[in-house]
Amino acid sequence: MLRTLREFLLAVWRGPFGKISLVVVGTCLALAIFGPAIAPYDPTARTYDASGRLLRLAAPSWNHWLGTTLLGRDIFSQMLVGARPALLVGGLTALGAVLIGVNVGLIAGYFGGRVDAMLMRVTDVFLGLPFLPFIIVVLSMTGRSLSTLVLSMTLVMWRSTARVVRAQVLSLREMPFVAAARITGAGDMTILYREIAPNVMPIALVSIAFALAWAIITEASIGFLGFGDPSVISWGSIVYDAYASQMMYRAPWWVIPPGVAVMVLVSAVYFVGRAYEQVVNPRLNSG
Amino acid sequence: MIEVRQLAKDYPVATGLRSMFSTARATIARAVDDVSFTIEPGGVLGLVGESGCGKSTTGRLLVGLEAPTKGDIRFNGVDAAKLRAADRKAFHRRVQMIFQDPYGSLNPQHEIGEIVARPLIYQGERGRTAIERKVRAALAEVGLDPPDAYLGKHPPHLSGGQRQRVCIARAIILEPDFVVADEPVSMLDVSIKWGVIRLLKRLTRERGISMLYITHDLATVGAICDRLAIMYLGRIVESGPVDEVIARPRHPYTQALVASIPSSDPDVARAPPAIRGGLPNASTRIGGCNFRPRCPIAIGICAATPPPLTCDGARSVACFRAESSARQPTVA
Amino acid sequence: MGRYLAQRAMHSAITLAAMATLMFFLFRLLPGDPTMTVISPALQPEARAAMRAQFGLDRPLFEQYLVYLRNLMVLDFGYSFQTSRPVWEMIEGRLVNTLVLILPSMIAAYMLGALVGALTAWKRGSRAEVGLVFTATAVQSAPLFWLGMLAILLFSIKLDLFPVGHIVTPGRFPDPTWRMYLTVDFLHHLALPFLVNTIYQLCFPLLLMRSTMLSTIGEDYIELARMKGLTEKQVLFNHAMRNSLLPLATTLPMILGWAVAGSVVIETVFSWPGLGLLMVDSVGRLDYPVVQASFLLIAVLTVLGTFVADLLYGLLDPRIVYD
Repeated sequence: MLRTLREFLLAVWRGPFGKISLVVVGTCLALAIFGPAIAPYDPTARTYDASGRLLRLAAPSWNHWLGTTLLGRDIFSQMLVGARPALLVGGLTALGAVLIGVNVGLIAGYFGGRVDAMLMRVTDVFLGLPFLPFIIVVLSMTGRSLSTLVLSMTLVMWRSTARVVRAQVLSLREMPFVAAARITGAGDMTILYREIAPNVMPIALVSIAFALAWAIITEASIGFLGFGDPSVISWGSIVYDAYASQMMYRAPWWVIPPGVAVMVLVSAVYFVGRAYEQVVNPRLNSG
Repeated sequence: MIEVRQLAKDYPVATGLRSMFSTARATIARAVDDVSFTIEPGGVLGLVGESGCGKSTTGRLLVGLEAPTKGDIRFNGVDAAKLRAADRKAFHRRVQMIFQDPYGSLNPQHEIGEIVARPLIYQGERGRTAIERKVRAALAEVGLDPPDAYLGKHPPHLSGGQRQRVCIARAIILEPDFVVADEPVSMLDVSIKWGVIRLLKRLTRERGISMLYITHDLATVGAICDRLAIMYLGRIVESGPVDEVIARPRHPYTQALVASIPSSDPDVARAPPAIRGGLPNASTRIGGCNFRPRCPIAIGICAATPPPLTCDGARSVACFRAESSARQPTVA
Repeated sequence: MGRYLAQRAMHSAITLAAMATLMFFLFRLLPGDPTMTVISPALQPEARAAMRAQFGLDRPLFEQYLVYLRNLMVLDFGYSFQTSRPVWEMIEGRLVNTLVLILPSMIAAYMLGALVGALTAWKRGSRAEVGLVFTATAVQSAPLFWLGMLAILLFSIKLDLFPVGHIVTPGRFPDPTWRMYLTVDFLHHLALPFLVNTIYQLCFPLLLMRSTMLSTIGEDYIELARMKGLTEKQVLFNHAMRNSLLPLATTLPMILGWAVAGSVVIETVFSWPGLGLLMVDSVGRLDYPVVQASFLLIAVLTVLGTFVADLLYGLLDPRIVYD
């Protein structure tokens, strides 16, 4: 487990755009933890200029690096605060989805037969669920909160991991080391979780990276569509506020930073995933 | 003592494109057909045949990786097929297997020390220090000395020969009475091969382990086995003490195998292949003797009934023409 | 093959049935009943009872479920809470609008993506390749709504080349017919969302084509073609590309289905009156029959995409055994 993690970091560090990607992810992680503490302004407070007038749609300046919103809120502070929901929602979703996906894939692939057929039918159903519409419907039915968002995204995202893991387990279970464990008296669960599971760890890590990327984009999209938690400032909700105010085309500084943040973070996560994927699946490396 | 009586194993065969259109049930291949043999305590039986003849399946049946379709396997009088779950664990303590592929049979994610310790852990042993001591002893015994140099390594960092020694250490750590060695050296370089064979021989002698040594290579059996059984398409066609069978093969198939053993003397020309063609599909049944289509001395009766394995002192052979063919050791 | 097809079709049907069931119960989970939340809490009791009877809400849950399933079969999605018009009437035009935007855009994205992907594989190791892979990843990582807003900001607001959203100039076609799609005005409105969606969707086929090509280039038959004296260009476009197009093509229907599901975003940014925008708007208006119907229709298209992808995959890959 620890070895896999070390190999993971090493492979990414050496991979294409690896160093910069790890730095970006690390920075965002730091922002997610310390962002609210280092934000220069309260992100929901109105700010005023020297003469006491509300700073509406102020362009970027020394005092307000990224300008202000229609309500005079500091956009830079909002950006710092917005890192946390992005990584929290993304991280929890990716972890949950991969956890479910790996277990479904392990059980379906190892036991085969009816268990496999049944689990794969269930996977098919989730594979047919339209991603964003499903999340929108669930959020509008059950209330707009971060936890509902995480749950509904997890519910749709485990499906691809399950398929990938199952395919790997199908070949792993035929390996002689499985037979070797069996004839020393290991039961099915022992074989599954102590012999086979360590071998799907690499693919699970790749899945986590791609799920994380996708979850961060989705969190922003949901925020933009106006279905985000109304009490949380996220990169998506900043764009939504700009869009809803109908002032966004007059204040590009309001709209551009959140998108750039999502783009940079998600690109970094993609590069991390791909660099490691090349190590896991050397066929991709032949170029 | 291991007694195998009339062992048989069937597999359903999916026949590719045809199964798409036909609604008929899948055909059945009999991989192992009416196989019987006995291995005395400390004895080593060599099971020889071409790939696909059912010798590996026989090995897997013996260690309980597959369930037999028919017949029974007895270890010191206890039927292995009728074990309950609790006894199964104890059974695995006494019966182990060494696999052909030293690459696939070690979990690449585990350290060597972990791999060798796992059987003890799966058997319910506790106590880190005791387990560690046994692991070191087992590694030292298979020639991985000093053990500390190997404990923390992962299988990808070991050579094929070293891996196969790890597999052997894993098999003997439970101190089994019986080990199935399924082509243990066929994937190793010639230079390493004999070292592993000598190791196996030493272990059987020193520990009194009985062994079923499965191979397609008659050249190695003399160094380790005391008895030999030749298998063709699921059936044993000839058996007997190893020296006698190799010196005076009676079955035309054994004769062909013996003739194809490469000589260590480069001046001796290698005998031309005595039999033609490849192994037929096991699912296509022909009447009579299985070997008939490739046999150079087949006669009318061979097509009528399968020849029974008839006993003659220490040796057995399943051929109607065994006597006549024995007089002409090399078949043209 | 026939059996494989029937099996896949049955799986798709099961998936859709499961989804319809899920939707039914999800909507019934709502606190209170729709007459409370949607119409008015102050409704007269008699009026509310009449309303409940009209929507069939006074009958037992299981009966409602059966009626619901029966109605789905004949595309009867009930009446909109908002407009009281039959839902299907509101939806069919929206479906056409979505397809008119997504379908050509995805096909263009795949064709362009395959070509550019092959070129990057050919120029592997060059600065241009690294730059393209980097750009494609960045575009793929950007939120689609944000790309749309940037495009509007640049092309519509600053340069004034395209209109800001909508499918035609509002008010020009009070009663839309198919003729609408043949006007220059329509194409003018289509251009920007089409462009943004194509550029965004192009990244996946581009990167997939590149990696398939790169693994193909290592194969023996490509070596053989090289040894026959073919130029690198011939080897690439006649041999490697042809063999890499196949796996790419099989992904198109599925990605198409997903793109329809993702149309929610692009339609919202460009106020494009498609199925996705209808769904988002109806959620806001608590018009549940419309939400339900548009969701199910999008789901049908997604499942259809997966189904066709499976079939294509089975048809084109001889290694698949149909059993």
